[in-house]
Amino acid sequence: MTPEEYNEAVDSWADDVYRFALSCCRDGDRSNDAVQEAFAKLWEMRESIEKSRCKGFLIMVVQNKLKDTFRHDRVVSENHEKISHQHEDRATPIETIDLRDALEKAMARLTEQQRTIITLHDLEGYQYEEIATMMKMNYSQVQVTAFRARVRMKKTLLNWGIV
Amino acid sequence: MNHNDDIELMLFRYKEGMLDENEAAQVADFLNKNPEWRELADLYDPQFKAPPYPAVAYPGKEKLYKAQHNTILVWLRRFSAAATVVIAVTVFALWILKPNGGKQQVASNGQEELHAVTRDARQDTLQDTLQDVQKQQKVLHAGTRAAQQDIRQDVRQEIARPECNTVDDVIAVEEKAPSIIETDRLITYIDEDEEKDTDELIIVETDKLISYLPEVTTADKATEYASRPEWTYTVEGWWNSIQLAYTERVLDSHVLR
Repeated sequence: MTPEEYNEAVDSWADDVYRFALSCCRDGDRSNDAVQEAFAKLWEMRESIEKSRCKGFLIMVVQNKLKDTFRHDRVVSENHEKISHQHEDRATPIETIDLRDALEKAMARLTEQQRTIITLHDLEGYQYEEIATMMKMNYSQVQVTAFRARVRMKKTLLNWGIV
Repeated sequence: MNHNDDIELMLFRYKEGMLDENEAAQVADFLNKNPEWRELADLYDPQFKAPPYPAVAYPGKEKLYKAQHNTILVWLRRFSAAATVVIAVTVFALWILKPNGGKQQVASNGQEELHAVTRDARQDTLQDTLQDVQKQQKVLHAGTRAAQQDIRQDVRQEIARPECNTVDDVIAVEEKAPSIIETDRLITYIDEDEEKDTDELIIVETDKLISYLPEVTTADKATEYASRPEWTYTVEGWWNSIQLAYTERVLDSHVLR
């Protein structure tokens, strides 16, 4: 990959990769760090990565980076975030939540792993086998996790009377 | 994967249309005979997709670009660097092949030894780093496992108090206790709410079932309980079973008012 092709990759995918990171971790700073690291690695390895595999590579690096930082700074900060989401949801009358908002909030209630799998499948179009490779999980585990994620989303929407 | 995971996997493949005709018929028959699993299967709805990404642009994009105008210079530098290396290697090789090449041989042996020493030193450093990380993981795991045991002990003591003598009292104690989920050998604590209590717990694999039952103190015990036919393992069924066990224990030790 030449520098021109690298810059084209920045133009084409920096926004998408950032949005992917945001949808997984919902933290602007962590997403920013992950995207920076992904493109830094892409630049380092530009001579061994084909242009057609760029986006997949970037998403894999971002996903691994988010997974690593998730293991280190969870618990208290995530508790506060989840509690504030809960209070937010209880304060909002059900009638004012439209489906898209509801899906957003339902996604926020998933674990990060569940959210990543659903995002990779629904928005990035990866098959579950590819997701298993990217996330270094067993194919069956990915399917079971996706199953639980969608069950949970549906239950959340049912509780809110959206569906 | 445990038995429940296997069933959920089967339901996933059934709902996604990944089974052949015979397999699908078997699953349909299983669901007819097991209404609690049918209820769970009905909750799986692949039409509910993740909402589209928000329309945000990456704020740090400008910093990612690399300069292109010196590409030619970069290639020239690379070519000249490569040429320099080739010439240097050629000269060195010719020098080695000269009649008095014994001294050069000794010098090259010294270089090999130096290389071996530095390589070993790097491996030792990596090994030390790995051992440190493993030690930290063990300490962290032991700390959180100990904290988890403390929480379970607190809950049991709370339930054993004389004031806690109705089913509602027991449920109130449980609602105050942090839920425990275990992922990747680390234990996280989150506050409970009515939408997370069962789902978060069910994330735990059955062979590592975190249970408030005092007799379930090891993974083997949890597996044994999980295999009993009278225990249902739908999301609600599992939670109800735990509550039932609590209730029985309370009734045994206290008189209801």
